Amino acid sequence: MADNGLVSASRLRGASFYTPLVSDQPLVRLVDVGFATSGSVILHRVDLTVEAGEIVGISGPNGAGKTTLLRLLATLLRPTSGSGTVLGADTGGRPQDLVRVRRQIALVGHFPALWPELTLRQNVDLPAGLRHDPPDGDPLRAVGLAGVAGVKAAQASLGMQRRVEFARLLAWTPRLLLLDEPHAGLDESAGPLVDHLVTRVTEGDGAVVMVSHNPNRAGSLLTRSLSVTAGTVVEAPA
Amino acid sequence: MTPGAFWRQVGWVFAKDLQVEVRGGVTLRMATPFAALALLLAPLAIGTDTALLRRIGPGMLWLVVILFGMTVTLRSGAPESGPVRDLLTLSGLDPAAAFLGRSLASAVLLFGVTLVLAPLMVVLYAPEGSPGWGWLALLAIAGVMALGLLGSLVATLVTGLRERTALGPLMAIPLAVPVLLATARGTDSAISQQGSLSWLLLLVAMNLALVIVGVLLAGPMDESTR
Repeated sequence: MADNGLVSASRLRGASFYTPLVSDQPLVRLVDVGFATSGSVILHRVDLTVEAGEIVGISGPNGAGKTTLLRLLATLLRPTSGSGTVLGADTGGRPQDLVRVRRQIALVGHFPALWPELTLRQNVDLPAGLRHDPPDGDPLRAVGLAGVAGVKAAQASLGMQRRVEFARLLAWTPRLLLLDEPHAGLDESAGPLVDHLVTRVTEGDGAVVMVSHNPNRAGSLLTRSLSVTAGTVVEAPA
Repeated sequence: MTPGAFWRQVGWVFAKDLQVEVRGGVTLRMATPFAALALLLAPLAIGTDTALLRRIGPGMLWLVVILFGMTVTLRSGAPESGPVRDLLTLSGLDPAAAFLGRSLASAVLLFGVTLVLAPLMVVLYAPEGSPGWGWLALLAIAGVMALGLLGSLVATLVTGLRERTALGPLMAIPLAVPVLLATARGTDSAISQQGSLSWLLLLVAMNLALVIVGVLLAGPMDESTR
């Protein structure tokens, strides 16, 4: 396989370090959850359950509350009404109680989480150092960026920045993977990379929640589709 | 979290911030030249009163370090924002460890600025006396540490506020007055071969107070500004 080519799914599959956690509880359970900020209601009366092994797609118009829902699931926001658990932890619980579950959640947001001053290599190695998850092999090679590892993130395209975020996920497997428009900025050759990461999580008894405006690229993976409309989550029409 | 894991996180943030500075170079490329210019322009404004220049030299040095240094620490000491902040939170980074790591990195940057400016001050202002190098080193270390902690604390407090760019210096500069007094007067004492212990103790007490307040506030501030 060429360095700048498609990721080798079979090679990545063998690079898993995940020890499956067995649980009969849903990974996510939100009951009548709402979220409001500065007087405006963003989400209201959201009921959502996500079981292990599920790949849940979320669609909806701009500003409907999809990203807010992902941040609630990541425990980065607290519900302003209702209740819920994520990986067994109360979403309104104390921060010190959420630390344990937060380390099992990965969020690939709409805007890449990179330090613009640092190189692509440093952007992969630094978070791995914080998590104490040194990657086995070269994750940048696996996502086709070995040849540009020394380029500053600020000078990289959106697609390259996205691949860096996926490279980070090769060092560990989250229990709950939250993806916000994962295909945005990526060329067609990166599709199998997203598929591989998603499959790896579900095979490890985890779950994936994916916001996507591109049903053609995400649709074949999904086990369930939801729609966020005016702050409420409903089952998407088949 | 174990104390070992906590201090490893402090070290991680410290190393990360210095890497960002090395690659970005804001302190060295922007703040330090302006600070050096300020030190250079003051004697031109004062004129040929060399006796006055000798007396105010150490005070000018610390005034410039504090004013320009505070712009550095308010920037480098600010918590991460946006997606990177989410990444760090989900990686389990303790906000208190992040506060200490950022403060240490800012202090190292300020120490570098001070090392560049101090010889310039000696050349331009020619302060009299033979310095007690040990006292000077201790005062400089305690002084920049206090400034690093203060900058990080204020940057944490104003995170998320719309007026944070103006509010940060307005809050930080008055709080830095004790640091200015202790470092400038302590440096005077060290140059005139008098003991600087009382000024050093003031700085140590300030450092301790800032560490306690910063560590206690870091977690609640992190949660409340999401």
